[in-house]
Amino acid sequence: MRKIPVVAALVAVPLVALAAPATAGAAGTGNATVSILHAVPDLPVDVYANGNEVVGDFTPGTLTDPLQLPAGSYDLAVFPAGADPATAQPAISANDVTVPGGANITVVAHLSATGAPTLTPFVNSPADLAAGEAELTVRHTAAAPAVDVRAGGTAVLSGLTNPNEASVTVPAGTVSADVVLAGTSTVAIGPADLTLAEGAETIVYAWGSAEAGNLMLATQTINGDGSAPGGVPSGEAGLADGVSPWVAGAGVLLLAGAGATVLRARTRVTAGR
Amino acid sequence: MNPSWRREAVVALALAVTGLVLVLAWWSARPPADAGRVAAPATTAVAATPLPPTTPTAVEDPAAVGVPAPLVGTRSAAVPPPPVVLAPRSIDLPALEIAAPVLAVGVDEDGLLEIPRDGDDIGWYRWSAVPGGPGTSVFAGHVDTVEDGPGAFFALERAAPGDRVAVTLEDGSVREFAVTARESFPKQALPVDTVFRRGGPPQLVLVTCSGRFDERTRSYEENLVVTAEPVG
Repeated sequence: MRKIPVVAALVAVPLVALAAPATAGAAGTGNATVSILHAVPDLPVDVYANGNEVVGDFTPGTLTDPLQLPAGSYDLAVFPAGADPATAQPAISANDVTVPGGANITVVAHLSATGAPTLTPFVNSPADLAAGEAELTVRHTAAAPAVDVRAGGTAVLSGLTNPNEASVTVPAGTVSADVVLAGTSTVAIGPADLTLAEGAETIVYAWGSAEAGNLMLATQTINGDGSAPGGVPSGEAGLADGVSPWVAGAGVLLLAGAGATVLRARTRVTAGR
Repeated sequence: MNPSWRREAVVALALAVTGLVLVLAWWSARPPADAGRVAAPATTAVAATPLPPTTPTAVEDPAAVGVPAPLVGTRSAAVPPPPVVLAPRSIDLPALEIAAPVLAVGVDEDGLLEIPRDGDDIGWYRWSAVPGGPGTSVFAGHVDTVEDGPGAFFALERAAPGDRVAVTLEDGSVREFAVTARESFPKQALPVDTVFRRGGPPQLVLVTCSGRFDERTRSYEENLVVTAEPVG
């Protein structure tokens, strides 16, 4: 739910170029955090935003550091590495991509389900996680049919299609994960040991091409606020409440014993008279 | 008075005196309402340290400055190998004669910190910092258990500023700390976001129970929190 409105807004507008504040639309104010993932196999590229080179010689399977960009709308263009943007045709382009202020977005250059290079922006929004939990988000950005994602042999996400994403909250830790063709146990990618950091959103991208036999996983981690344990229940016997009540109890018993002894002695004395 | 009467009188007197001593000991040792609060400047030491903001690479607006923006850095997005976490294996507070094995623990079904069942063991919250790493590294142990009596942290309420704490990690290395503060909080008011602080300066936090024991709920009313800073 929380992801849909922004994603929809972004997808409705063609993608990427990093515009100046002067051209910023009504998408919001302030900066957005934008990362770019290169997930088109075999194609080193240069990425331009509003005509300026942002990433040079960007190789498949790499992710940029997060960029702070003013909210606004951007024209994005991806050229084969080293090409002159003034004369060359972009391999992928997307104009008037809306970047809302305050959002955390990953723009992914990837193949469509049918193998055409494309750009898809995803909104990164870690869930509210309880202590000990992690969020696993999987994004299907591969030229491949619908898939299921399994963790420890159990399907945790089902029927995911390009270019969609799905999330699940799981216990933090390292799991053996693989990607299978939807509804089957035919492994398409993996298995791989995935570390799902506590309190964070671990995003896994399935990318590449099934036809070319180069399906792969890429990962990105978005730190959330997480949660602390609710408390520390570390005592149950009451011994540390000053001196234990047992000590007082023992004292009372001894006093009673003394009383009984006296009583018994007196009785005997009386009887012996 | 025959000998038998005299002997019983002595026994009675001995029992009475011993009993009185025990009752008085219990009474006088009952902690006042603010027991456990110490002279140490706990509030400053425990105060939340704001996390250093993770500042993403800033790219100046190209159109505004009229020059190409600096290119952003990139990294491999391949699935990274699982991180190596050096879990603590034991904790020592020589001044209090505390020396206990440490187990990694998580949270229970109620979302509370798991405490090792054996009162002689100390739990290290596996999602807190490795001792000496950024953020708080949280250790908790029973002050007592029904089964085992006094627990590993029974003596923690006597911790004093300057007391050394040594934590041995699973690779055999030892991280040294010195106590800076000791403070008690009503359980409902335990500042969990401070105790379980993510990131920021390295700090050791030792937690157990203290305060009055509620016989009805079989639990203590307060948490005792001892903080320690890295030494050397």
